[in-house]
Amino acid sequence: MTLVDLAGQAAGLLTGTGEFLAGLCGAGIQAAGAGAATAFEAAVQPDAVARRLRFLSWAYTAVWLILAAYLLLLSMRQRRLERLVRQLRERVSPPGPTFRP
Amino acid sequence: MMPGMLERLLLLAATLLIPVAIRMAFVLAPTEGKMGEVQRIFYFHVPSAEMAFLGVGLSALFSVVYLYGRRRLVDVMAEAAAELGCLFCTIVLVTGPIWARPIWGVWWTGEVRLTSTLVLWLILVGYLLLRQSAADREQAARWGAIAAIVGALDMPIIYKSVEWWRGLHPKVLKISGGGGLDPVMGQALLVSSLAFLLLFAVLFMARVRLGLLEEEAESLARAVDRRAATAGGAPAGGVS
Repeated sequence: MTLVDLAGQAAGLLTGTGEFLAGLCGAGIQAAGAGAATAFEAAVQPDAVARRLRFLSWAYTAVWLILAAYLLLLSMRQRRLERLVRQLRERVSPPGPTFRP
Repeated sequence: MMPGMLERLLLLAATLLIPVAIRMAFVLAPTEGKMGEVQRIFYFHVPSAEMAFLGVGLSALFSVVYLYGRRRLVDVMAEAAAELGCLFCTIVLVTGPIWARPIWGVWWTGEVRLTSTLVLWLILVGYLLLRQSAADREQAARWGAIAAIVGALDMPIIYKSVEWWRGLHPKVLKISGGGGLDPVMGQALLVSSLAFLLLFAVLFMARVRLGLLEEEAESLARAVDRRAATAGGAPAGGVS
Protein backbone atom coordinates (compact mmCIF):
# COMPACT_ATOMS: atom_id res chain seq x y z
CA MET A 1 0.00 0.00 0.00
CA THR A 2 1.52 3.33 -1.04
CA LEU A 3 1.10 6.65 0.69
CA VAL A 4 -1.13 7.72 -2.19
CA ASP A 5 -3.43 4.81 -1.36
CA LEU A 6 -3.20 5.72 2.29
CA ALA A 7 -4.02 9.35 1.55
CA GLY A 8 -6.85 8.19 -0.70
CA GLN A 9 -8.17 5.99 2.08
CA ALA A 10 -7.80 8.79 4.58
CA ALA A 11 -9.57 11.19 2.22
CA GLY A 12 -12.31 8.60 1.77
CA LEU A 13 -12.54 8.17 5.50
CA LEU A 14 -12.62 11.90 5.95
CA THR A 15 -15.29 12.24 3.29
CA GLY A 16 -17.29 9.43 4.85
CA THR A 17 -16.71 10.84 8.28
CA GLY A 18 -17.62 14.27 6.93
CA GLU A 19 -20.93 12.94 5.62
CA PHE A 20 -21.55 11.15 8.89
CA LEU A 21 -20.52 14.22 10.79
CA ALA A 22 -22.70 16.46 8.67
CA GLY A 23 -25.64 14.35 9.80
CA LEU A 24 -24.31 14.23 13.32
CA CYS A 25 -23.65 17.95 13.27
CA GLY A 26 -27.20 18.55 12.10
CA ALA A 27 -28.48 16.32 14.89
CA GLY A 28 -26.05 17.89 17.32
CA ILE A 29 -27.02 21.36 16.30
CA GLN A 30 -30.68 20.44 16.68
CA ALA A 31 -29.99 18.92 20.08
CA ALA A 32 -27.87 21.88 21.01
CA GLY A 33 -30.61 24.15 19.72
CA ALA A 34 -33.05 22.36 21.99
CA GLY A 35 -30.65 22.86 24.88
CA ALA A 36 -30.30 26.46 23.92
CA ALA A 37 -34.05 26.81 23.93
CA THR A 38 -34.13 25.92 27.61
CA ALA A 39 -31.03 27.80 28.68
CA PHE A 40 -31.29 30.93 26.62
CA GLU A 41 -34.86 31.37 25.51
CA ALA A 42 -35.50 33.98 28.14
CA ALA A 43 -32.27 35.82 27.59
CA VAL A 44 -31.50 35.46 23.90
CA GLN A 45 -33.70 36.01 20.87
CA PRO A 46 -34.38 32.86 18.75
CA ASP A 47 -32.88 34.72 15.77
CA ALA A 48 -29.66 35.18 17.69
CA VAL A 49 -29.55 31.45 18.53
CA ALA A 50 -30.02 30.56 14.86
CA ARG A 51 -27.36 33.09 13.89
CA ARG A 52 -24.88 31.60 16.34
CA LEU A 53 -25.64 28.09 15.08
CA ARG A 54 -24.92 29.34 11.58
CA PHE A 55 -21.50 30.65 12.68
CA LEU A 56 -20.80 27.32 14.38
CA SER A 57 -21.58 25.39 11.20
CA TRP A 58 -19.37 27.75 9.16
CA ALA A 59 -16.43 27.16 11.49
CA TYR A 60 -16.99 23.41 11.46
CA THR A 61 -17.19 23.30 7.66
CA ALA A 62 -14.06 25.46 7.36
CA VAL A 63 -12.02 23.02 9.50
CA TRP A 64 -12.97 20.05 7.32
CA LEU A 65 -12.41 21.96 4.09
CA ILE A 66 -8.92 23.08 5.16
CA LEU A 67 -7.96 19.54 6.23
CA ALA A 68 -9.39 18.00 3.04
CA ALA A 69 -7.55 20.56 0.88
CA TYR A 70 -4.27 19.77 2.66
CA LEU A 71 -4.77 16.01 2.22
CA LEU A 72 -5.52 16.50 -1.47
CA LEU A 73 -2.38 18.62 -1.85
CA LEU A 74 -0.26 15.97 -0.09
CA SER A 75 -1.72 13.24 -2.26
CA MET A 76 -1.02 15.19 -5.47
CA ARG A 77 2.57 15.94 -4.43
CA GLN A 78 3.10 12.28 -3.54
CA ARG A 79 1.77 11.08 -6.89
CA ARG A 80 3.93 13.57 -8.83
CA LEU A 81 7.07 12.65 -6.90
CA GLU A 82 6.50 8.92 -7.27
CA ARG A 83 6.17 9.36 -11.04
CA LEU A 84 9.34 11.46 -11.13
CA VAL A 85 11.32 8.95 -9.04
CA ARG A 86 10.18 6.12 -11.31
CA GLN A 87 11.30 8.04 -14.42
CA LEU A 88 14.65 8.97 -12.86
CA ARG A 89 15.29 5.39 -11.74
CA GLU A 90 14.73 4.21 -15.30
CA ARG A 91 17.24 6.79 -16.55
CA VAL A 92 19.83 5.88 -13.92
CA SER A 93 19.56 2.15 -14.53
CA PRO A 94 17.64 1.48 -17.75
CA PRO A 95 16.00 -1.95 -17.94
CA GLY A 96 18.12 -4.29 -19.99
CA PRO A 97 19.00 -7.95 -20.36
CA THR A 98 19.81 -9.48 -17.00
CA PHE A 99 22.95 -11.54 -16.57
CA ARG A 100 22.27 -15.09 -15.43
CA PRO A 101 25.42 -17.14 -14.73
CA MET B 1 6.33 1.46 -0.23
CA MET B 2 4.57 0.01 2.83
CA PRO B 3 3.35 2.46 5.38
CA GLY B 4 4.36 1.35 8.86
CA MET B 5 2.08 -0.46 11.25
CA LEU B 6 2.23 2.51 13.62
CA GLU B 7 0.98 4.84 10.89
CA ARG B 8 -1.98 2.54 10.17
CA LEU B 9 -2.79 2.18 13.84
CA LEU B 10 -2.70 5.95 14.33
CA LEU B 11 -4.94 6.45 11.29
CA LEU B 12 -7.40 3.89 12.65
CA ALA B 13 -7.35 5.45 16.12
CA ALA B 14 -7.88 8.94 14.67
CA THR B 15 -10.75 7.69 12.50
CA LEU B 16 -12.42 6.15 15.54
CA LEU B 17 -11.79 9.02 17.93
CA ILE B 18 -12.83 11.93 15.68
CA PRO B 19 -16.57 10.99 15.62
CA VAL B 20 -16.45 10.46 19.40
CA ALA B 21 -14.89 13.91 19.86
CA ILE B 22 -17.54 15.46 17.64
CA ARG B 23 -20.36 13.75 19.50
CA MET B 24 -18.93 15.00 22.80
CA ALA B 25 -18.47 18.53 21.46
CA PHE B 26 -21.85 18.87 19.75
CA VAL B 27 -24.17 16.68 21.82
CA LEU B 28 -22.80 15.85 25.26
CA ALA B 29 -21.06 19.08 26.27
CA PRO B 30 -23.44 21.59 27.88
CA THR B 31 -24.23 24.90 26.24
CA GLU B 32 -22.08 27.72 27.60
CA GLY B 33 -23.99 30.33 29.57
CA LYS B 34 -23.03 33.58 27.86
CA MET B 35 -21.88 32.69 24.38
CA GLY B 36 -24.38 29.95 23.59
CA GLU B 37 -23.85 27.48 20.77
CA VAL B 38 -21.03 29.36 19.08
CA GLN B 39 -18.81 28.50 22.05
CA ARG B 40 -18.65 24.94 20.65
CA ILE B 41 -16.09 26.28 18.13
CA PHE B 42 -13.80 26.10 21.18
CA TYR B 43 -13.63 22.27 20.82
CA PHE B 44 -11.75 22.49 17.53
CA HIS B 45 -10.27 25.99 17.82
CA VAL B 46 -8.30 25.20 21.00
CA PRO B 47 -6.97 21.77 19.84
CA SER B 48 -5.94 23.40 16.55
CA ALA B 49 -4.01 26.02 18.50
CA GLU B 50 -2.38 23.25 20.56
CA MET B 51 -1.35 21.42 17.37
CA ALA B 52 -0.03 24.65 15.86
CA PHE B 53 2.13 25.06 18.97
CA LEU B 54 3.20 21.42 18.75
CA GLY B 55 4.17 21.87 15.10
CA VAL B 56 6.18 25.02 15.73
CA GLY B 57 7.78 23.59 18.88
CA LEU B 58 8.80 20.37 17.13
CA SER B 59 10.08 22.29 14.12
CA ALA B 60 12.22 24.52 16.33
CA LEU B 61 13.52 21.50 18.24
CA PHE B 62 14.40 19.59 15.05
CA SER B 63 15.96 22.77 13.65
CA VAL B 64 18.30 23.09 16.63
CA VAL B 65 19.21 19.41 16.27
CA TYR B 66 19.78 19.94 12.53
CA LEU B 67 22.04 22.96 13.06
CA TYR B 68 24.06 20.86 15.50
CA GLY B 69 24.33 17.62 13.52
CA ARG B 70 23.34 18.54 9.90
CA ARG B 71 21.36 15.35 9.37
CA ARG B 72 18.97 15.46 6.41
CA LEU B 73 16.26 13.36 8.07
CA VAL B 74 16.04 15.86 10.94
CA ASP B 75 15.60 18.70 8.45
CA VAL B 76 12.82 16.76 6.70
CA MET B 77 11.10 16.32 10.08
CA ALA B 78 11.52 20.03 10.90
CA GLU B 79 9.93 21.00 7.59
CA ALA B 80 7.04 18.54 8.10
CA ALA B 81 6.35 19.88 11.59
CA ALA B 82 6.45 23.52 10.40
CA GLU B 83 4.07 22.78 7.53
CA LEU B 84 1.62 21.14 9.93
CA GLY B 85 2.06 24.05 12.35
CA CYS B 86 1.09 26.36 9.49
CA LEU B 87 -1.93 24.17 8.63
CA PHE B 88 -3.30 24.18 12.18
CA CYS B 89 -2.46 27.86 12.68
CA THR B 90 -4.57 28.54 9.56
CA ILE B 91 -7.48 26.67 11.17
CA VAL B 92 -7.04 28.77 14.32
CA LEU B 93 -7.06 32.00 12.32
CA VAL B 94 -10.16 30.95 10.36
CA THR B 95 -12.24 29.62 13.28
CA GLY B 96 -11.26 32.44 15.67
CA PRO B 97 -12.85 35.29 13.67
CA ILE B 98 -15.95 33.12 13.03
CA TRP B 99 -16.33 32.90 16.82
CA ALA B 100 -15.47 36.57 17.32
CA ARG B 101 -18.08 37.97 14.92
CA PRO B 102 -21.20 36.99 16.93
CA ILE B 103 -19.50 37.44 20.32
CA TRP B 104 -17.42 40.60 19.92
CA GLY B 105 -19.36 42.03 16.97
CA VAL B 106 -16.22 42.21 14.80
CA TRP B 107 -14.31 39.65 12.75
CA TRP B 108 -10.92 40.93 13.85
CA THR B 109 -9.46 43.32 16.39
CA GLY B 110 -5.95 44.41 17.27
CA GLU B 111 -6.00 42.28 20.43
CA VAL B 112 -2.53 40.97 21.33
CA ARG B 113 -3.30 37.24 21.18
CA LEU B 114 -4.86 37.61 17.75
CA THR B 115 -2.03 39.75 16.45
CA SER B 116 0.71 37.51 17.85
CA THR B 117 -1.02 34.43 16.38
CA LEU B 118 -1.17 36.18 13.01
CA VAL B 119 2.54 36.97 13.37
CA LEU B 120 3.22 33.27 14.02
CA TRP B 121 1.25 32.32 10.90
CA LEU B 122 3.23 34.87 8.85
CA ILE B 123 6.50 33.44 10.21
CA LEU B 124 5.38 29.94 9.21
CA VAL B 125 4.35 31.06 5.73
CA GLY B 126 7.70 32.87 5.53
CA TYR B 127 9.41 29.63 6.58
CA LEU B 128 7.82 27.73 3.70
CA LEU B 129 8.53 30.52 1.17
CA LEU B 130 12.14 30.84 2.34
CA ARG B 131 12.72 27.16 1.78
CA GLN B 132 11.20 27.38 -1.69
CA SER B 133 13.40 30.33 -2.68
CA ALA B 134 16.70 28.91 -1.37
CA ALA B 135 19.40 28.03 -3.87
CA ASP B 136 19.98 24.51 -2.56
CA ARG B 137 18.80 22.06 0.07
CA GLU B 138 21.53 23.03 2.53
CA GLN B 139 20.64 26.71 2.35
CA ALA B 140 16.91 25.92 2.60
CA ALA B 141 17.56 23.87 5.74
CA ARG B 142 19.66 26.63 7.34
CA TRP B 143 17.21 29.45 6.55
CA GLY B 144 14.29 27.26 7.63
CA ALA B 145 15.97 26.39 10.92
CA ILE B 146 16.43 30.07 11.76
CA ALA B 147 12.80 30.88 10.83
CA ALA B 148 11.50 27.98 12.94
CA ILE B 149 13.48 29.15 15.97
CA VAL B 150 12.14 32.71 15.51
CA GLY B 151 8.61 31.25 15.28
CA ALA B 152 9.11 29.38 18.54
CA LEU B 153 10.05 32.65 20.26
CA ASP B 154 6.53 33.92 19.46
CA MET B 155 4.85 31.03 21.30
CA PRO B 156 5.29 32.27 24.89
CA ILE B 157 4.05 35.71 23.77
CA ILE B 158 0.87 34.14 22.37
CA TYR B 159 0.37 31.95 25.42
CA LYS B 160 0.92 34.69 28.00
CA SER B 161 -0.55 37.60 26.04
CA VAL B 162 -3.96 37.49 27.79
CA GLU B 163 -2.26 37.79 31.18
CA TRP B 164 0.45 40.27 30.20
CA TRP B 165 -1.74 42.69 28.24
CA ARG B 166 -5.16 41.81 29.70
CA GLY B 167 -6.61 41.14 26.27
CA LEU B 168 -10.19 40.42 25.29
CA HIS B 169 -9.46 36.83 24.34
CA PRO B 170 -11.19 34.38 26.75
CA LYS B 171 -8.90 32.73 29.24
CA VAL B 172 -11.29 30.66 31.34
CA LEU B 173 -14.75 29.65 30.14
CA LYS B 174 -17.63 29.68 32.56
CA ILE B 175 -21.03 28.09 32.25
CA SER B 176 -23.96 30.02 33.65
CA GLY B 177 -23.56 30.38 37.37
CA GLY B 178 -20.46 28.16 37.40
CA GLY B 179 -16.93 28.91 38.42
CA GLY B 180 -14.74 27.52 35.64
CA LEU B 181 -14.80 24.92 32.89
CA ASP B 182 -17.62 22.40 33.30
CA PRO B 183 -16.26 18.83 33.77
CA VAL B 184 -18.08 17.55 30.66
CA MET B 185 -16.72 20.52 28.68
CA GLY B 186 -13.25 19.62 29.98
CA GLN B 187 -13.68 15.99 28.92
CA ALA B 188 -14.95 17.03 25.47
CA LEU B 189 -11.94 19.31 25.08
CA LEU B 190 -9.57 16.54 26.17
CA VAL B 191 -11.04 14.00 23.73
CA SER B 192 -11.00 16.59 20.96
CA SER B 193 -7.37 17.42 21.71
CA LEU B 194 -6.47 13.71 21.60
CA ALA B 195 -8.25 13.31 18.25
CA PHE B 196 -6.33 16.28 16.84
CA LEU B 197 -3.07 14.87 18.25
CA LEU B 198 -3.68 11.57 16.44
CA LEU B 199 -4.52 13.46 13.25
CA PHE B 200 -1.31 15.49 13.65
CA ALA B 201 0.73 12.29 14.11
CA VAL B 202 -0.76 10.67 10.99
CA LEU B 203 -0.20 13.80 8.88
CA PHE B 204 3.32 14.22 10.26
CA MET B 205 4.32 10.69 9.28
CA ALA B 206 2.80 11.11 5.82
CA ARG B 207 4.59 14.45 5.36
CA VAL B 208 7.96 13.00 6.49
CA ARG B 209 7.50 10.17 4.00
CA LEU B 210 6.88 12.77 1.28
CA GLY B 211 10.01 14.68 2.31
CA LEU B 212 12.08 11.51 2.06
CA LEU B 213 10.68 10.88 -1.41
CA GLU B 214 11.75 14.44 -2.38
CA GLU B 215 15.24 13.63 -1.10
CA GLU B 216 15.34 10.46 -3.19
CA ALA B 217 14.17 12.34 -6.30
CA GLU B 218 16.90 14.96 -5.78
CA SER B 219 19.66 12.40 -5.36
CA LEU B 220 18.44 10.48 -8.44
CA ALA B 221 18.35 13.74 -10.43
CA ARG B 222 21.95 14.42 -9.41
CA ALA B 223 22.94 10.91 -10.49
CA VAL B 224 21.26 11.43 -13.88
CA ASP B 225 23.04 14.80 -14.26
CA ARG B 226 26.41 13.20 -13.46
CA ARG B 227 25.74 10.44 -15.97
CA ALA B 228 24.66 13.00 -18.58
CA ALA B 229 27.81 15.08 -17.96
CA THR B 230 30.07 12.08 -18.54
CA ALA B 231 28.11 10.62 -21.47
CA GLY B 232 26.94 13.92 -23.03
CA GLY B 233 23.20 13.15 -22.57
CA ALA B 234 20.28 15.34 -21.47
CA PRO B 235 20.27 16.55 -17.84
CA ALA B 236 17.52 15.42 -15.42
CA GLY B 237 16.28 18.92 -14.68
CA GLY B 238 15.40 20.38 -11.26
CA VAL B 239 13.24 18.69 -8.64
CA SER B 240 10.85 21.04 -6.91
